[in-house]
Formats: sequence, structure tokens, C-alpha cells
Amino acid sequence: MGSPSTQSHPAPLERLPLHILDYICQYVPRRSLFSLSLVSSLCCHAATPGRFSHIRLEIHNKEKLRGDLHRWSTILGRGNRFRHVRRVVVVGRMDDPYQADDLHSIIGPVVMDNDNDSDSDSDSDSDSDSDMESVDFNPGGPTLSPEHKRAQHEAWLPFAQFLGRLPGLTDLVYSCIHQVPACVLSALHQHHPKSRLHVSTFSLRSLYQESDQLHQNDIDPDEFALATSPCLYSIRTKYEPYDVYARYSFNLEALAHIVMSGCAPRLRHLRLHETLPGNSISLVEANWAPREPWKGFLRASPNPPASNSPQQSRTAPERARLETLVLSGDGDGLYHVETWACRTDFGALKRFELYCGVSVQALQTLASIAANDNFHSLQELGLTVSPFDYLETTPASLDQPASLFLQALPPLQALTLHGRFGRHTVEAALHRHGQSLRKLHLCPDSDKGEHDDVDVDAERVRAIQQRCPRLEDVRLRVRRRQGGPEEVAVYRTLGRLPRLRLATLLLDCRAPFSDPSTGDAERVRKTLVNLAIDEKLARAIFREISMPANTPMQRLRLETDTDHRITEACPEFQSWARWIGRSWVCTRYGTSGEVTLREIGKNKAERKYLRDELEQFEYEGTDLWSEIWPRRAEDWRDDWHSFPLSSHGVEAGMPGEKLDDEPELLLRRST
Amino acid sequence: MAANQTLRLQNMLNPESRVFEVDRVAAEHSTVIRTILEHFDESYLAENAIPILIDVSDDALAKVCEWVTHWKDLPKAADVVADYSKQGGTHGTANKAEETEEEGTENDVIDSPWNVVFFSGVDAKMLYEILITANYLDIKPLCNLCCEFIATIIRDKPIEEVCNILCIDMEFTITPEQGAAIRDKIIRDYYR
Repeated sequence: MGSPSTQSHPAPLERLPLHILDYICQYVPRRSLFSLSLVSSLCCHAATPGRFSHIRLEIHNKEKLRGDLHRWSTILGRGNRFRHVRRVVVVGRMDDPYQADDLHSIIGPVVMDNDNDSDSDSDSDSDSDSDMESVDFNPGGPTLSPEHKRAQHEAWLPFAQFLGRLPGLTDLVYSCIHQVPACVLSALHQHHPKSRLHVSTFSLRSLYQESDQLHQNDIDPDEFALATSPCLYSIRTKYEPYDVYARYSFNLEALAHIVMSGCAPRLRHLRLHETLPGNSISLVEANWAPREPWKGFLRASPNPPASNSPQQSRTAPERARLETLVLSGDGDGLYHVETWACRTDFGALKRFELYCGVSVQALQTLASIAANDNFHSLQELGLTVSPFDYLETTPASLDQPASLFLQALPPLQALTLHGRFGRHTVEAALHRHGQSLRKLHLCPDSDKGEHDDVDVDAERVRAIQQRCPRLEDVRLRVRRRQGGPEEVAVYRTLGRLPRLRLATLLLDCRAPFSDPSTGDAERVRKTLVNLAIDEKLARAIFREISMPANTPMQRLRLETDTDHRITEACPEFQSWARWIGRSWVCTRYGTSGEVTLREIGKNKAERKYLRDELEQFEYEGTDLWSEIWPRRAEDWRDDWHSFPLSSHGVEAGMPGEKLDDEPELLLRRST
Repeated sequence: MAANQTLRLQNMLNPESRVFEVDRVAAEHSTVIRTILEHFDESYLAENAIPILIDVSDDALAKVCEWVTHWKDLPKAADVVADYSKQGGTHGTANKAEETEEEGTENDVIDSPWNVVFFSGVDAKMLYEILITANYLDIKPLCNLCCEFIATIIRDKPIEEVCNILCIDMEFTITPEQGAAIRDKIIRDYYR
């Protein structure tokens, strides 16, 4: 737009009133504010509120927490930056001498690789989603003893006091594996009663009860305070009806009560993952016995038990108005849909995700709800289209009802499909929602031997490109074809999505079984060629996608998928495949900035393990490996490399449409 | 007063400024003009142009008139000043980029093809003049668009490129190594 001026008078931006500059900074994503703040004092001043709006603390022990808080206090003390802090995120675990025998306390929280989380790419800089999704924890961990509580109180008190110094705090994201400390909750209630509390490790531990001691104790008072907190806004929880020791968990009943009774009046977002803890003898016995109903938080004044069945729930006087409902895990989709439709008004939902097995009836129920305009606020949908019971339902029978459900919904902004969805479902998605979609993730199951019709080829990508003009974020499974023109055409067509910023491609490296002319050895050879994805190839794929001028393309994630049945034909295949089938993230920093690549999915130790694993195969110089990659380096394991993409793509436009940028291809086709 | 009345605007700080004619319903996007209309009678406005007292070019004023004329049927903002006082300022400022993602609100700059055409070919100087004029006249949707547009063009840019876009000389001295370290940290923290 211009060039740096050597003017003596202020640049146009610096002539703007400061409140306008502030307003511009509100539109700039946080990651870009750091660049902006280094431009000039004025920009630095304007960017300051955004730069200090989020604080993230990783919790390990009380000494580290105190040190971190001291450092933050020093930083925020300059120019009274405390007032800018709006969101505080705490992740990790506090060392706890009283809980040393708890396995989860010993190994600490399992924090997933952030690359698994597409939300971490978002502009939002919103830590809530990424932190809410990324922590594994034990929902049935032991209830705190009084000594334990005192120790926790002492460790967390400085943090509670720190919260009191943040006048603008609006959100606290709690992602530590143990219960929210009482002093933190009190500080929130006292200093920030209108703030929003997001708990990604929500569980009421005291509602785990031995089957022979049911209803003998009230809920822990601190947990009661949490469950009824006026700040509680967002919950992620894992639910198990019984734990591995066959103890009852009344968490689902309690959650239903919290949602329906309004005792946590601001609760709007619920993510519930149902797990089955195993099949110990005691657990099997517990499952066979009739389940005792929950009698409420307090023995003295039992709540009317929030029902667990749709028949009972229909009598409930009022439904909650959740905005997010994510149901996942081992449960039956139909049961989930029917029960939660009675507990919360689906008309208020902006985001609904159902990631569990479904039946035809479940999809018909959803379609019926949608047809009655009961999903009228919905913007984001996630759905697994896989049978709950494979004996009763075939995947193909779900295709039509899933498409009817999608057709009945209002235009969506984000759609994620998992499982074994078929052609009709994808067609319905593009037809009904294509014009409005900003995010489309098609994640078909990869456990099938055959390529199916949800594999993305140039034609499917072309349909997406033509019917989803607003798409910014896409995830697709793309079949590799040894880098041939058809494969390149897929990448180039993706690049023609005018707003595409984020793309994740699951590269299907299998050689098709449907080709009878392909023998086992040839199939292994083709698969290895497909799997060989090094930095050079990853960069080339990124280049193909981001070829158009002014493309907003920012980040490409490449993952590989292959077929292990091929192992019968080549025992070494698995080890080779793990060694060369690498995943990458390509990031472009700014439109003219360089592209950085990072290998993901394997750390150094895993990489070393895979290298060592290959030692069992002695290099003979006659096997498929050496046929593909003749020995050049001292160590044959380093000989492999990718094969270049074809410099031509097959026609990516409409049949017969001339492509200005591919004259050579047209020449080839005409010959 | 007739709804289809034509109002005249003129930049009084520039003696050679053109007189711009705008439909009253379009001009009512401006809170300032709405206030003027409440306090001046029809006969006065028929004889006199509404004065614009801000140092901007006629081209910028023409662009603003073009925008309000095109979007004249858009609902008018009730109180821009009150809105800024709620959302702007340095205290407790919400990040709009964040809200856009979280709440799924429309990105007007991108979503309206007409707006994209409107801003295409507008250079930095003109863009700021449009913004200053929109701010002076209290035209909230146009202010928002300009702010969002500026934010869109500087997002994810390296420091040097931001300086180029904003026509600002870099005030701080940053070595290439420091720049690379900052870039790496941003990639690590925000693009993981």
C-alpha cells in the first residue's frame, strides 16, 4: 500500500485518534499485535491491551507458581497493565504429597500435541478451546482430605490473590487435573462475580461412591460450590457410570440436574465424553445389577433427581439453553439425542457435535428435530456417521438419513464429518451448506482396505472449490498417486479456494486394491513411493496449494495414512512405513514471508526407536527398498527421499474449460 | 422533512472543495449529520451546505458519500459515541478477531463483494482519510469496515512489512537476529 516514508510529519496511521488505533488493534489477532507493537511507540501503546489480555500459567509446584506470579506482577506493574488482563489460563498439576499414589498425579496430565488441535490455528487466540480439549485426566480421582485441602489452599492462595488484582478479568480457564481449589473459586466469586469459569477437567469426585455405601455422605462442600457457581460457564468432562472398581459415579445425573435446574445459571457450554472403564468382574456385576437412582447433592434436602431417561425427562418443566453441546464416546447416539433434547433447548445451540455411533433412527430423530426448525441457531455441526451396532446397521444405510439431516439444517458455518459417511452425505453438505461454510472437515474412517467414495479426488475438490467460496479451513483425505498429475490437480484446485488459510490433508498412501493388474510387490512399491514425504515434498505441496497470487494460505498440515494389510506381502513394510511416512506442518509467516516446516507426530526418542527398529533388516541390495532407493549414503536408512510432484496437473477446471495457467497440459491432452 | 431530500456537504477547510450531494436517508448514517438535521430547519439546509471541518481530500469525501449512498438502506447506528465508549478505550478491550471466531459474527469486509471492490485500489493515505472522515462524521459501520480492513492487511505480516503498509519508519532498532527470534517465538506460540 505504500513505502516507508522519510517524512517529518506523522504517518497517516499516527494521525488517527488513539481510540481508532485501539479499535484497529481489536481486530488484529494477538499474534500479529507483537509485530505491530514493534513498529512505533504509538503502535506499541495501542497494542498493549491486546498483548497483555491473555496470561497462561503452567502449574507444576507452588514454588514455580509463586515465581511465575512474581514475574507477571513485575511485568504487569509497569504502566498498570493489570487492567488489560482479560483471560487467565492455568494448565498442569500442582505437586501433591498426599496424592503420591495416584497414577495420574505421578505421570502428570497428558497434554496432547497441540498440532492435533485445529483450534490452535484459529485467529481467535482463544485459549479456551485448545486448552479445553487437550487435557487428559482421571475423573474418579480421590476426594481431597482436609490435610490435602490445606496444602492445596496454601499452594494456590497466591494465585487467588493475583486474580484479585486483575480488574478486567472476564475468563478463567482451568485445565489442571485436580479439582478447582476452593480459594480460587472464592476469589473469582468475590472479585469477578460476572466472569466466566471454564473447567476442562470437570468432575465431582465426591459423587463417586462405593456400591454398598451409596447416599451416605453429602457432596463435598467445595465441589457443591463449584457445581452451583454463578461463574461456571463452560464444562468439559468425562463421564463413566462406574469406575474400574465398580464404584458408582453420579456425575451424569448431577450434570443433568445442574443443566436443568439452573443452579449454575450461566452454564452455556458442555462437552461430555462417555467412557467405559473396562470389564473387571466387579464392573460386569455392577452393570448387570439395577442402577440405584441418585438422590441429590445433599441428604437433608434432596433435589428432585434429574432424570436419566427420555420418558422421565419429558415431564421436566423447563429446558436449559446451552449454546454448545458436544457428546462423544462409547454411548448410543440415539439415547444421547433423545435425553439431551429433553434437557436443553436445541434451538439455542450454536454448536452441536455428536461423536458416537448412531443408528438410522438416531439420524431420523435429528432430521425430525431439524425439520421442525429446532436447530435454528446452529452454526457448527460435528457428526460421526458410523453405526452404533454393526450387527443391526450397515454404514451404507446411514448415508441417506444423514443427508436428510444435513438438508434440514439451517446454513452452517462449520461442518465436521467423521466415520463412514457416503456420497449422499457429502453432496447434501455441499448443496445445503456450501455457500456459508467457513470450515469443512471430512474425516472418513481409514480402517477400510478399499478406497471408498469419500476419498477426495480432483473432481470432489473441484466441487468443494466451486460450491464453498467462503471456505477458510479444510481437512480432507487425499489419495496420493505417486505425485502424478491427478494428485497435483487436487493441490492446485485447493489453492483456488480464495479464502483458504488452513488446510489439513490426510494423505492416503495406499495403492488401490481395485486395480487387478497391481501385484503385491508393485503395491508395496507404490505405497512406499507415496509414503516417502520429506521436507522437500512437503514444501512442494505447500507451494502448489499457495501458488495463486494473494492467496491467504497460511498453514498446511500433512499426515499420512497407509494400509497395514500389505504387511503379509512384505514383512519389513511396517517398519519402513513408520520411518518414511512423516507428517509435517508448513507455516507461512506473512504473505511474502518464508515458509517454515516442522515435522510433527514423532519426538526425538520415537525417531531414534524407529531408526533402531530398522537395524533388524540387513541391507541386501535386492529388496524393494534398494530397488526404489539405490544405496548412496553410508547408512541405507538415510538413502530414502521423496519423488517430485509432476510439473503438470490434470485439468482442474470444468470439462472442456481452457486453463490459462496450464498450456503444456493442454498440449499433452491434445496429443 | 422529505425523506428523499438531497443534502449538500462541503469541506470548508478547503476553499476549492467540491459540493457533494447526498440523499438525506444516506447521510443519516452519520450521527453528526443526524444531529445537525435536528437543529437546523429545512430552509437553512436548502440554501447552505453542511460544513465538513476536517483536513481530508475531496476524493476521500467522495468515497464516503459513495459508501453511504450504496448502503443507505442499512439500519442506522443509534449512538456511535456510546458504542465506542463501551468497546474502545484501553481498559478491558475485547479482541474483535477473537469475537469474530468465537461468536461467528460476519466479517463485513470480506463478506460483501461490493465492500471489497470499494476498498480495492484504495491506497494507505486514502484509507486513513476515509477512516478519519468516517470517524469525524460518526459513521460507525464505515469506521468498523476501515478498522477491519486495516487489521486484515497487517495481520500475520513481519515487522518490516507492517512498516511498509502503514507508511511508518521503524522507530525501534531490531537486529535481523532479534527479528528472527521474534518471528520464531510467534510461530511457536501461535501457529503450533
